[in-house]
Amino acid sequence: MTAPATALEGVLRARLCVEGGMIKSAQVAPRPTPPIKPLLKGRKLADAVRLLPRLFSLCGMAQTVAALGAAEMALALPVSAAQAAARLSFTLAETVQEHATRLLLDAPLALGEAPDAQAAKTIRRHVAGLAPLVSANDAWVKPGGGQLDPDRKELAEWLETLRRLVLTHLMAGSDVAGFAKASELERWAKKGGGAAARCMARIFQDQQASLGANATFLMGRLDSEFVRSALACDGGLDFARAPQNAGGFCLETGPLSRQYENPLIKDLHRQYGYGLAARYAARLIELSHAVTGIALSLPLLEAERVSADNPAGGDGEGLGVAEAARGRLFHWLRLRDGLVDDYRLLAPTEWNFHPDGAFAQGLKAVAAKDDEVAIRAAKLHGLALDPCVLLEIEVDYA
Amino acid sequence: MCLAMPARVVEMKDDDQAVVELDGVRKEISVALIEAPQVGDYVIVHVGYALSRLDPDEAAKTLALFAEMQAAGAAA
Repeated sequence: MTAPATALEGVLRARLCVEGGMIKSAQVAPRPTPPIKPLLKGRKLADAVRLLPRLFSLCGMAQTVAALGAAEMALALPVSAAQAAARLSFTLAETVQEHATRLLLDAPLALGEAPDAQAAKTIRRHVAGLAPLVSANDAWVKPGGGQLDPDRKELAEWLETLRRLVLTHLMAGSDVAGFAKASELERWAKKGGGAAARCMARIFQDQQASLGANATFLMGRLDSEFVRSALACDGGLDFARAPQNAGGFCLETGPLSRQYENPLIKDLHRQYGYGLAARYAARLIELSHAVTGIALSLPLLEAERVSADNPAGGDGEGLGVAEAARGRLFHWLRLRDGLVDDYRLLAPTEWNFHPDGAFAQGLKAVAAKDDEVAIRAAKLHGLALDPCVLLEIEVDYA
Repeated sequence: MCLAMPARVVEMKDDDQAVVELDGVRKEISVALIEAPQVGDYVIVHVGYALSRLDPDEAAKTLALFAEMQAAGAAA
């Protein structure tokens, strides 16, 4: 009997060992990765790049940008500043959409607060309106870049609306990115202006600010050549299931790893470690920074006409990188005679849920008087790290 | 990673709730994030919410891709 298609979605299984009222260890088995290569092998590169975003529900833009980057490296294709600015603005807008969904829906549901589906819907609908203002019919999705026709007036209005939506629905009128102290964040949260603030208040009130705190290195600069060679070698699929850096260390990737130098995150780290408060605050800060990043990218957009022909290509190999909302995403591919010969993805989840990574380390010594408390802690910590994970958790007692 | 598997709306309920079906499994979800959902629509579901709607052609193409992946995975 054929397994259902839903079996393609790899479930991550974690076994928590509880002893003396606390979690002693969390054993995580790397999940199977979806069979991308057989789907793409033998396809024209341009077709493969357009097909990929269809497969992913939460990060289609970032997946597309990483795929384009890999294709362009393989074909040695240059990309104009306008094309790069378009891709960056789309990826940042997707980050706003995903962080908003986490803070307005997922986190409230997990923490027992009321979600704000209407605000999430408004923001998602607005973000979806960006790409058509820059490039009709997804013409930008093409190795080397596609046709751009930015509508500057409409884009300026779109940006102002986005800024207002974020400030109103997620920041309750105060730009959290401007806070320098944890105490400012706590005061803001206590006012309870919206679902995101109520979640943050709940985290402090339930003394969960430190939940998940651990000392896993944060992914800052990471040598792309190391990642390329690790993905390209015979053991590349094993690396993609349980990646570590060249020194053999696990890394955390995501909003926290991008915002750890922010004064508020530094203060939260001093008081609570890198736990729930720091991870959700990093999302709030990143919302503000993403809007600023889009504002800086839009002026670089220029109308561009490109050849309708797809690049012919020959043999080559390339690595593409994109900062998705949930962390850094890598695509690697190899071309033979202009067709895809091999394709490998390295998703943020695999770094964060490595058997020795931030998820497992963050659960050690967490107080857990029973199964329910242990499972809730694991789910909250897992959701703060990465919403794209189907977690199955079992609890053992020593 | 979150695969975007289209689920078909098989029943509309009150309060922005609906029943969707995927792989023969039915599940009640919220459709509060999408405009005017109807029975027969295909939607992408995440943690109990329909995130977006696909037109039937798009959904059929996407389901075919997943079936291809599934077959490829079984053959590997």
